[in-house]
Amino acid sequence: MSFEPVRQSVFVRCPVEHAFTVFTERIDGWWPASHRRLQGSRIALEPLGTGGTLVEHADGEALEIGFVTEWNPPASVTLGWRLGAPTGLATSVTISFAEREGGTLVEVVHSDGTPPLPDFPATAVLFTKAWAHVLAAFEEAA
Amino acid sequence: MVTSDAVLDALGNATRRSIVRVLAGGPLTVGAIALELPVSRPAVSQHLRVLEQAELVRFTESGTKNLYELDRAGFLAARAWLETFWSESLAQFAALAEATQEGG
Repeated sequence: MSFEPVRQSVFVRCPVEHAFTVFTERIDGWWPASHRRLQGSRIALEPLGTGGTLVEHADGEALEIGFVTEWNPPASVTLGWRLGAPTGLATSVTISFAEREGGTLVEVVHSDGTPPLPDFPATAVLFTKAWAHVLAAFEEAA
Repeated sequence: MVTSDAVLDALGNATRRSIVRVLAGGPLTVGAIALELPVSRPAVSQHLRVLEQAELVRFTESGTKNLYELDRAGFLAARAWLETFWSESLAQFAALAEATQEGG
């Protein structure tokens, strides 16, 4: 079975340092409203850096979304991210910032985690495109 | 179509994730699933209903046996949620980074 992380990238016309700073210090400015658990919430990394926690705040309520697992400014940051509820599916996302002519290439790789997380393969099935293998496995067993 | 919230909420429970893990090996009856986990058969049935609503598992009949198997619909919905999350986030991030650049 092959595991396909979600991979996306964007080119930004600004220096690497600025891209890293905006990404990590102004999360609330880019995190889509449609993908928040709490309405009108504020999302931030507290504190910035190793040991930091990604927290969503609203009306005195605070939800822990994720935590920093690697902090290499301004080249990359890796977060452990629980999807949905605080007890949700554990995933890992690395955001890297590389200098390109006229700006910065920002790449996101969101995967089931390296090393594989305890929730494997519940997480793995989310990240696999090789559904034929999964289906074959349970068709054989039927 | 199932909502990604329903899928993520369903997977937000460790016992339900264990059921998914067990079913990744192939379709099973409620009784067989309960044998694999430290939970009662009625509890497994209850969790299966939540997973079924999230389209992560589906009910299937094989001869006289009533089986549960993984349903790809829920997993695809969750993956689509992730893809949308990052495409929207990166677009907003790029706009913000370029707008806040000094002298840019």
